[in-house]
Amino acid sequence: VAGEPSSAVALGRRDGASSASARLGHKIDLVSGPLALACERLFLHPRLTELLPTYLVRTHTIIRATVPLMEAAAKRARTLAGRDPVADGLARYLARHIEEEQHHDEWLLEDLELLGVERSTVRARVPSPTVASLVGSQYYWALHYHPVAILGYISVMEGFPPSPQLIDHLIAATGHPPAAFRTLAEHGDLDPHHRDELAQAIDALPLAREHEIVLGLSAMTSVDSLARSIEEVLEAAV
Amino acid sequence: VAESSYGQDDGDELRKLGELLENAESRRSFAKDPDKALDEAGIDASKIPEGVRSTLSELSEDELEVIARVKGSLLAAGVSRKHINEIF
Repeated sequence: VAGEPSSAVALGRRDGASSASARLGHKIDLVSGPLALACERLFLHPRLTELLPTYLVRTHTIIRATVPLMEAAAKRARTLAGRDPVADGLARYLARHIEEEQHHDEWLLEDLELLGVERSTVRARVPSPTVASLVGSQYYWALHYHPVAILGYISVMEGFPPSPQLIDHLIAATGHPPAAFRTLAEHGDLDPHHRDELAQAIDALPLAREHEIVLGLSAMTSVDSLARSIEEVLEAAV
Repeated sequence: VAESSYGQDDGDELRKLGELLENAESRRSFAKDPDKALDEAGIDASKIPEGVRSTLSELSEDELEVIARVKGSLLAAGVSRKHINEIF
């Protein structure tokens, strides 16, 4: 596990005993430090009350693309499925997960309304280049390389479920109504289950090294983009 | 504010490793033979945390480029998933 010092010296390659989902998790760990620090700066910011709606609007620009992105990847996977067992397994996983992710963007619009942000305002906000890069790169990999890349992105999106303690902190620190945190709370409940399902799905796929590379690229660039997206919210507050 | 769990020596070696990976030629060498690349760069492999070393040794050149692009990722690698989960 990344971050655990050891006295071992040799830098030998792994023996392949660990699972694909574990290897992907280690790659995510390797780049998640800056994201952790960005989150900490945001959630402990003295002007959090003012920043939170901006952060949630930014989040909406990401999650409103989740289901359409997965549908595009699923369509491409179904196209490949007859001759590609990875695509076949992916198509079956996405068919289930798309159902699980339906309407989460709508929940967030309802939360933002409770914070005084109209849905027309959310939809009118031009999405940032960072978000376009985050989501757009997934379309590229799915449509022009292999749709399995999207599992790296989903691993990141499901990988850091909000804890009840964080939500309590946000309510206390901002004074916003608890009902405005429904989306975060629901994700805190659902994501650990989704994360386990995803790990099982990844480990059931007959992944070649190229598949694992694109999973890693997808996941690590997603972590980087999410960190930059939060930093942009913080910079806008200066 | 969270800080890396690594000691000063670890931090120095991680900083040197981060610098090594910023160079495309060095990344290529590292992807081919991590031990040799570290040795040639004068980096003490024993001071690179095992989890970081073993994961890096499996990465492709393109993945190593992402690591190089994420500023400070190796130095912040001690801010682990455990910490980020605590924040979230």
